[in-house]
Amino acid sequence: MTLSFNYHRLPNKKGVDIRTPSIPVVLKGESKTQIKVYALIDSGADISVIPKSLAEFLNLDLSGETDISYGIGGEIKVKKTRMQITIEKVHEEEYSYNIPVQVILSGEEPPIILGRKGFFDNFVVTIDETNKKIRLKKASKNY
Amino acid sequence: MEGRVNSEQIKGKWVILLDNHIIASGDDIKELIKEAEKKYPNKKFILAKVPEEGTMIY
Repeated sequence: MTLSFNYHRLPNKKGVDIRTPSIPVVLKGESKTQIKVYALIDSGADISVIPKSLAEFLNLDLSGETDISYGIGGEIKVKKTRMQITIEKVHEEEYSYNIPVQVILSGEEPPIILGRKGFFDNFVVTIDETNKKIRLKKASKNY
Repeated sequence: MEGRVNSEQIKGKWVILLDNHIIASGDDIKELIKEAEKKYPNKKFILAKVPEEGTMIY
């Protein structure tokens, strides 16, 4: 079964087309609090990322040690934790995973990013830039 | 900020979408969600971040 999503397109009146390879997912922590978000699919990200304010809203466990994450823009302070992501019912199936996530503590707030560890390793991910579509096919390991 | 909006005003901001219309925008996620829950109780809205032009994530 392949899940297909159009790039998320934001409404605007100026004709400026803002489309991103983002999909709707529900994020949840240990508590009942949850929120539906558009999360950016990013094959360049080792791990999923959310801003601190969202982690606090979801009551994620931020008691772990502060770590440093490195990227082309330099280094930033992060906390590693876990969250639940759910792709809501598509073809009567719901896809739910408990994934590792880095909470960004310093610098500019990032968008919500779904990276490789915990997300991409569940799916064969196709980002079809030409047709502005994302396809997710449940992965099966061949090694 | 309801309905159709000028995208220039919301670049880099968090937005709350309801039925694909922007019902709130700003920098503070928790305030935005609180505002949306107050104005539209029991509605299912979606949080998203509007990218800046030429955004590079690191």
